[in-house]
Formats: sequence, C-alpha cells, structure tokens
Amino acid sequence: MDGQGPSPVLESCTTPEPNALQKHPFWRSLLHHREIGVACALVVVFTVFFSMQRHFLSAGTLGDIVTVAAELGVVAVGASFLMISGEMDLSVGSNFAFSGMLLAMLITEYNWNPILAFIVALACSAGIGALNGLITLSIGIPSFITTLGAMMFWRGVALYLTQGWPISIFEDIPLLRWLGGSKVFATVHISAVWWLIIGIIFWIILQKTPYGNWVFATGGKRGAARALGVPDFKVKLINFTLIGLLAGLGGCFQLGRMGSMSPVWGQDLALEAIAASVVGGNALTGGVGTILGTLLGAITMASIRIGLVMIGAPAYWYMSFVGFIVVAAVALNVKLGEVISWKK
Amino acid sequence: MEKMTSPAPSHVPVIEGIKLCKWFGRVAALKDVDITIERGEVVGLVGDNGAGKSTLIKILSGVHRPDSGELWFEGKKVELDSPRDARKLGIETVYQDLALVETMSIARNFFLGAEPKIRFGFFNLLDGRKMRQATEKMLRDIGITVRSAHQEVSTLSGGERQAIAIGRTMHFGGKVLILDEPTSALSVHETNKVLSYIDEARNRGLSVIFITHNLYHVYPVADKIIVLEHGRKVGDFRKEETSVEELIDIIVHGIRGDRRAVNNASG
Amino acid sequence: MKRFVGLLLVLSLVFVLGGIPVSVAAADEMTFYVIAHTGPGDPFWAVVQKGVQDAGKVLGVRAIFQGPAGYNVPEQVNMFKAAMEAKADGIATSISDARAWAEPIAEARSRGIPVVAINCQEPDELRGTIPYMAYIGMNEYEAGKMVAYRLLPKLEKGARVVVAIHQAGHVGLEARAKGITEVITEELGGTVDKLDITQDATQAIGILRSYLKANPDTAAIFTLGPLGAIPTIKMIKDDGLKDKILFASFDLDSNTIQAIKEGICIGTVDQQQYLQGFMAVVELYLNAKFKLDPADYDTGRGWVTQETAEIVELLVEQGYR
Repeated sequence: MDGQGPSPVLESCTTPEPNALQKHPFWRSLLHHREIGVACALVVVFTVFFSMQRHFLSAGTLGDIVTVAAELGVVAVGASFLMISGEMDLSVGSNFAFSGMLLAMLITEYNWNPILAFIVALACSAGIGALNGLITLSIGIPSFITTLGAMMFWRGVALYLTQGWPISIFEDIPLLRWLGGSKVFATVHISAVWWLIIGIIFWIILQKTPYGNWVFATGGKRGAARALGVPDFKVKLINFTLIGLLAGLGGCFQLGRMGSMSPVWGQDLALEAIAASVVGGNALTGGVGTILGTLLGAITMASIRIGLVMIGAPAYWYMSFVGFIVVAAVALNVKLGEVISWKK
Repeated sequence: MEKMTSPAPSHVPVIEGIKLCKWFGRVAALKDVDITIERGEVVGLVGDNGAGKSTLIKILSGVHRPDSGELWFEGKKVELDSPRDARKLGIETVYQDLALVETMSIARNFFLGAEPKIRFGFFNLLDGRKMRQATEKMLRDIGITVRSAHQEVSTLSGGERQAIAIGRTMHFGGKVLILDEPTSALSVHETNKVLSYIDEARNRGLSVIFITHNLYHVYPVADKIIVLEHGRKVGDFRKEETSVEELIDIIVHGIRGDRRAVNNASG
Repeated sequence: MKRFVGLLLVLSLVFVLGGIPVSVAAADEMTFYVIAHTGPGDPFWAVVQKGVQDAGKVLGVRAIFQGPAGYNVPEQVNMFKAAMEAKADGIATSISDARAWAEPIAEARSRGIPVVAINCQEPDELRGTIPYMAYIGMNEYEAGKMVAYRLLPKLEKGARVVVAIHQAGHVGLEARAKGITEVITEELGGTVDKLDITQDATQAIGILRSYLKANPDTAAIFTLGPLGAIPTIKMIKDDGLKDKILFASFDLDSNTIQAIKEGICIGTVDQQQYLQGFMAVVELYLNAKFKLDPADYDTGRGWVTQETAEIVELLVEQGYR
C-alpha cells in the first residue's frame, strides 16, 4: 500500500443522462404544477381548522368561504395577471372603494339607471388603472410608487364623495341582486359564480393565447420580449387597466352583497390580493404564475379568516396566522420551483 | 416550416447602410459608417469596447433610428421604427442576454412574437400542438436532447440556448441573422457548435452579421470583417486580405498609413 | 424538499392530535360570540373584550370577542356568518350599518340563534328593520337627559346653558344634545344654545370665548366628548372661570378625569362599555339556556364625579372602564 494514487477499488460513478427523455411516475409529474404549493397550504389550513371545529367542513361554511374569497379573489386575479407581467398595483383598495361608492351614489343620489351607473363605475375604475399604467410606463416611475400615490389620492376622492359617510341602498335593485345580493346555493352568493367565470377567462387568456405568452415574456424579460417584437408597453398598460377594472368590479360585488358601501372599506385589499397571488404560486418579480393558484390562494386566505372565528381564536391572531401561511406557502413554492422548471 | 429566402438579384446587397450616424447626447456613437452585406455572406463586426458595434446592429435591427444616413434592404430604401419592422423584413437579431426568457419554456420562447394561432370565434388561441411539434423537430435538428419542449429554458446550457435562438431565427425565414457576442461565455465545445450553426445558416442562404471580441472565433467562419473604432469604420477586409494578427494589431494600435489608403479605396 | 414536506405533515398531525381534545370539549360547551365593528388595538373595545371574557369565566361558557382590525363592516359580517356556521349559542354584534345587517341577522334568527345588538348609534331606528332581540349599550339621547338632570339642582330657573358640539351632524352627538336641550327647556324653562365649535381646538376656544362674551350670564357648558372637553378645559383654566361656570362632558379620557379631580368639571358620562360585553353574554346565555327573553340595557348611566374620579382612573388603567 503506497498511499499514492487512486484506490483501485474505486467505482466509476454512474450518473443518469441529464436531459434525456425519461418516463416519470405519475405522482412526480403532479409536482410539476405550480399550484401544488398552495394546494398543500390549503390542505394544511383545512386540516387544522377541521380538527378544532367539526363544523368547518359544512356546506354552509364552505359557501361562506367561497363568497368571502370572491371579493378578494376578483382583485387577486387581476393582481396576478399584472404581477406576471412585472408590475404591481397598490391602489386597488382605493379603486374598489371609490367605484363602489360611485355606483351607490349614482343610483341613490342622482337616480341614474343602475345598469348605466354600473357601466360608468367600471369605466372609471378601468380608467384609474389605465392612468396608473400611463404614469408608470411613460414617465418611468416604479409602479410601486405610482400606485402608492394613487392609493392615497383615490382614497381621498372616495372620502370626499360623501364627506366620509357610507351610502346604503334600501330599495331592491335587480342589478345589485345580480352582482352579489342573491344566493345561488345555500350560503354561496352569486358573486362567487362571477369570480369563477372571471378566473376561467383569465386562465384561458394567460395559458392559451398569444397575449398570455406576451404577458409571461414581458414580465420574464422585458428586453428580450421587446427585441422579438412583443409590444411590452401595450401589454403592461392593458394589464394595469384590467386590474383597475377588476378592482372596481370587486367593489360593485361588495355593494351588491352588503347593500352599503363606505369610503373606508377595502384598506387592506392591495396587500391581501398580493398575498393571495404569491401564496398561489405567482412570483413577486414576475414572469411566472398561475391563475388557478391565485384562485386557491384567495380561498386559503378566506378559509383562514373564517376558520379563526370558528375556532374562537382571539381576533388579533388573524394577522399573525396569515403572515405565517404566506411565508410558509411561498417557501414551499420556492422549493417546488426547482422541480417545476422543466415543465411549461 | 422554413420560408425560403427570396432570391434577390445577386448584385443587389441584402443590406446596405450608407453614412449612418447616431448621437447619444453629445457623444457620437457612430459617424458616417458604411456597411454592405451581400446575400449568403457572413460578416464579422469587431472593435474594442465603445467602438459602436452594438449601436450599429441596433440600427440594423430597428431598435434605434439613425440620426442621419440611409438604410437599404434588398435594393429598397427602408425606415425601421421598431424591432417588429425589422423582423417583418426578415432581419432577426439574437442579443447576448436578451435572446430568451429563462422562466418560459423552450416552446414558448421559440414562438415568442410569432405565435401560431387557432381562430376561435373572434379570439386567437395558441396552437399548442403545432408549437410542441415544431419545437421538438428543431431540437432534433440542432441535436439537443431534452425531456420536453415544455422544459424551462433555464435548464439548458449557454450553448444550447444560443443554438435555440439561432434555430428560431432560421425557422422564421430570416434573411439576415444578427448575433451579438454569440460565443462569449461558451465552452470550447459549445463555441464550435455555434460557429457550425452560423456556417449552416450561410449554407441556407442567410446573411449573418456577428459581433465578437474574439477574433479567433470570427476569423474561421467570416467572409468579411469590419473593424470599428470610436464610431468610425477603420477596416473593411475580405478574410483573405488579412490575418488575425493584423486585425488585433489594428484594434489595439489603430489603423496605419498604408492600410488606410487601401481602405479608402475599397470602403 | 422531502424533509420540508415531511415537516409540514408532522406539524399538521400535531395540530390534528392536539386539536381533537379541544374540539371534543368544545362540542359540549356553550359558545357565545360578541362581534364589534373594530377590535384589536382600540382601547375602547379592549374594555368590552374584558367584559366578554369575564362573563365567560363567571358563567362557565366559551365567550369569544371578535372584531376586524379596522372599521370594516363587510369583514364584521363575514365574522358573524362564521360564528353562525360554528353553531354559536348566541351572537352579539354592533350594528353600524342598517342595510348590511338586515339579512345576516334575520338569517341567524331563522336558524334559532339569539342575537342582541350592542353599541349602536340609533338603536330605536334599527329596531323596525333588524330583528335583534335586545339592545345593550348607550342610549345617547337618554344620556343627554341624564347629564342635564344631574346638573339641574345647581341651576336656577330660566338659566342659560350652551351645548358645544364638536362634530355637527354626527348622529350620536346630536342625540346627546337633544336630550340635554329637552330637559333644560322643559324642567327649567331655560334657554339652550347649540354651538358648533368644530374639531379644531384653537378655533373651539375662540368660538366659546366669543359666545361667553356675548352671553355673560351663561350658567353651564356641556361638551359632548373629549374633543369638545379639551379646549373647554383649557379655556376655563386660562380665563379663570373655574367656579364661575358649570361644566360637564361625556366619555372618559385622561384630560376630563383630571379636570374632574381639579374641580373644573363637575362630571362626565361613562359609557361603561364593560357592561356591553358582560351583559351581552349574560343575556344571550340566559336566553340560550332558559329561553328568558332579553331586555334592553342602557349602559350609559355611568356618572363620574370628584368622589369617584380616582378609583375610575385606576380602573381605566386596569382595563375595566
């Protein structure tokens, strides 16, 4: 034994061909979906709450969860769509309140035809989004800043509309029933159905259309997209407008469900929509994401809210619990990201 | 499905840039640069940092508009307002870091900006099957083995990514292929592969312009080599007229008397 | 990666196993919810929460206080619905928006869940449209009357008093003013002037001073809350009016309590929100268990004077008032 040179007993390592086409077991291919992270989070949340409160999985509760998720979820879908293209919008809460207030005012104080008022309110909310987009993209200010300012500005306008007072609509207005007032099944309000439809539409646009490809590219690498002729300015502007529209729609859903609107509601909406998006598997920096994940993310957030009340947890636990779930879910998503890379 | 390059009369160059000038504020990035690219010609664009190589190709690919000078494509005067205009003409550009979106799949990258569509009422949907099949074929042609066309580009090596970018331009029937530093950061093996793709492109009738710092890479494959210095063209040689050593010398020390006279005659 | 998933599964398992005894126990215990329109962080509601929790201990039931972090009625309605789904034995809620609450409370009642209202601005207005069983909280109008009655012995017939309102149009404040006005004019035949002193302290002092200059015979000043009390206290001190004019206010805050101790202020009305939490649970319990019908409870009968000021101050610190 001379102690020099490699041991003759060394075996040559066998590494599998790195990129060769391989067959994978079914369960492994499940992992390649970006939604697995939020699906796990949802399972954990449901398990925890069900173990402590057996009524948590009742039809009534699930209906409540979906209804609550809808108002947040509609905005979260828009937030994800915008986030994937590389921007964010902090003004959605103010837009939400302003549009709801506008709709309520036009109907009660100015006696407009409700449908016309609805169209105008949505046009305004889309306009707020478009304005955010124009300022961000033309001047070159980060969207965080533009929408931070917009958040404060439109909140002030909403407060000014009625000097801070809420508006209630006591007459039975068919439009409001259609927007959120009526229930379709047990405790499920119709707004949940609209939310599902919107989710499906946006899923199709994102995953199955050329525009969706442009959204991914604009957020993934704006320069490359532009070099290939993708109209990145237009894509981002359209997405800003869409999130504005959805924020306004969310406000109208809430007006439909509650019959009232106050200029101080929706304060946490922007951060909650972003939380629902990232929990769902959308990257904060853009380029990757999933609408299905966002839908599940919103349901997760709503489940936490309802679940905490049902188990009798002190009111202030909500914030801590949500914080924990957000970090845990995103951590899981990051870990999964390494596995996901090969798919889509 | 490759588009065949339309045969232009062989004495008309594919691209001709005449007295191109570009200013950025007070700095002259390009001054009176003339460039001629023939069909099926591979042109190497060399020069030290700040020579204006990037600016020149950005003008040719529609990213910048020249402040003065003219651009001619296949015998017709053109004005390129955007990269889209350039792509429409058949000028495809592969930038160093801006070729592919790493977070998207190979298939999506391949068809970015030129997605195959299925009409559905009054909407356009992506033709997913076509994308997958075309991508798989391209990958086979190039010789890259992957698990799926839906794999993220980030899983590929630098050389493979360049190959895909080049393959993309060839697929979309480019007439001119512009490459910005295609071989920097590549291994020897990968560099070889990329240079062979450039050769293949020429064989298919494409013209290729590529920027590089590495004269040992450009020399073997180029037909013509253009040297820029501080925004001006200081050398325009056919490969046979020069050597790697001479080119290095020109770049490092500047053009010398007798060569300058020869250039003025042929430039 | 596998380790991470494994950790999550273990955590879930711990929760499940730990939670089973909790949920089994909970299934037998009576559970009551008190839901406010805001909650954590607001010192006012912290007192209500204490009342709720103490009642739970005394009665041996689960009494849970809930409220959204900021004023948000839709959030509150969501919590109410969750409490319903949890099959609560009774729910108390503050109603700050008549339109939004009509349907949820009706739903709860139709499921046989007793519902009482707490801390509402205009309880009588609501009673028509919203089927809550009883109201536990301050009655602003009655509180106004009470203050006036307290000061009555010290005032002469036909006296002039001024009611300084710091937020004109505010429903609760206007109701307080109305109570004061009625008692003074009916019992004393006196004159009552209502003065809008705005929420700005400097302006308020100026407005009050000009009023007193124009009406030097004013016998008493009533303010309707700390925003009105603070400038008034300052003015009384600066102008040396301490024993020359009577002064009473509403709600507890350190300035007002200090003024009471110093004899500048005769007294203030305490909403006694502890009772809103405590009595709500008690009434719900009694209805759930023995079908005893709940009755309205006016918690706003608290009157803090120089005698009780020190003790009350201590109780405020401890979170009972």
